[in-house]
Amino acid sequence: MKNITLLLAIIFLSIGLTVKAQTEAQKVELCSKSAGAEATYVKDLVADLQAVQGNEKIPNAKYSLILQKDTKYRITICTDDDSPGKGYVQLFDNQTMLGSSYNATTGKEFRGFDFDCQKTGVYHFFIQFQEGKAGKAVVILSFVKKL
Amino acid sequence: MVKNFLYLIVVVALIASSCRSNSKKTTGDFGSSDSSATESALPLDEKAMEDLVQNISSPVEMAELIRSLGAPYSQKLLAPTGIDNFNTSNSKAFNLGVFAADLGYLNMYGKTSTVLSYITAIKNLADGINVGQFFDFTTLKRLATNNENIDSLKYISQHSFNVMDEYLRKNKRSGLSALMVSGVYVEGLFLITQIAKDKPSKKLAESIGGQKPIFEQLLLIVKNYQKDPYFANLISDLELIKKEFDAVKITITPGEPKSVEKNGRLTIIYTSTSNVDISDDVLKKIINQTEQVRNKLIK
Repeated sequence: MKNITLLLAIIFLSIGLTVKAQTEAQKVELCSKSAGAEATYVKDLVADLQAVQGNEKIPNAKYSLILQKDTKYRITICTDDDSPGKGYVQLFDNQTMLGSSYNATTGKEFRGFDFDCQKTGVYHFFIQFQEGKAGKAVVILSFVKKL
Repeated sequence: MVKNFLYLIVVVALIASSCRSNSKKTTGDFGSSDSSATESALPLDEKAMEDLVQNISSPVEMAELIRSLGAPYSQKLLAPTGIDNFNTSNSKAFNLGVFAADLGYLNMYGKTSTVLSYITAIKNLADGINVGQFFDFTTLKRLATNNENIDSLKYISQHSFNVMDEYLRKNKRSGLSALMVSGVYVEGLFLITQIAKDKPSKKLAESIGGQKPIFEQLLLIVKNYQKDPYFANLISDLELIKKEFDAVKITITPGEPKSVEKNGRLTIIYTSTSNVDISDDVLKKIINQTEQVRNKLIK
């Protein structure tokens, strides 16, 4: 009995860990594919955030990446199916917001956006969830073409 | 029954605690003496490094830049595989980056027959720094051998590289991550400068000159580890290239972002532009210096 319990425990844990690992990788792959055949995967950015507490600032995940001149990039966001909040991504050059996949004023949402980059430099990506809810999402940065 | 249940809890707790201690051990055991030395007393902490190292250069972007130039494929540009003198974690990490850049180049031209020797070399180096488990060698080998689905080959190559890089950064081995990224960058710069040597063009010259801010960022990262002798040598080599880049002038014309929505897709056109001024003489010096440095580093 002890041996069976031990075996079951090990199998249970192994399967759990494997499934989790596969799920993360599969989410990235699926989101990457949803960017379209013309887009080549470059990087994935993951956000797993708690809900906002009281009057605090809405939590975000920040990533800083170098983007190159004369390049069209595609930024795609995929929110997990079981995520309480809907994710959106914003792109900044220093303090200037260049684009967002969600307009809070109009409520309009996009799966992401293309970015025609004319200046090589460090750009900042912020991933947040609507209304400051908790959530999980992955953002894919893809290369589309040289301009 | 209660006894069995308690036994199960103990087993689960033991396995969970062994997982945790393994991950702690990962940092100490995986880094050999040459790499672990780099992690002590860094001027920038690990979190700052994590932010800095993100996407300095990806094998995909360098390869896409080369393809966009319409340059023909050239095997002689690639770093030779089969060299067995990468004896330290640092040299393994750097050359893993070099081969990853070459793999990106090969994938871009669909040279699946040559891909196999590069994924084998990468797998060996990845195993050497204990990140081989994140490199999907079996799938890549099948795709390359059967000449299947180039898109999957490109995706898995790039994703495996990202996962290895992320694992190193998140496990306090950001020095090795910095070296991998440096390897990709130096090899990518070598490839585009060699193409400029064979097939000069204004666009390519500007693309090379436009690397100046990225090169400076890379140098900032590796300087964080300058106490380590391997990094000290790398920095002095990279400084030689930087000296040539210093003569490149980049001016920024400020602009605003414009949003265009077409067929349900949003495009942001950012009119802020960087303008690159690079003379033929400076370009020639960057080409020569990059060639010398890269050829020294891959030995």
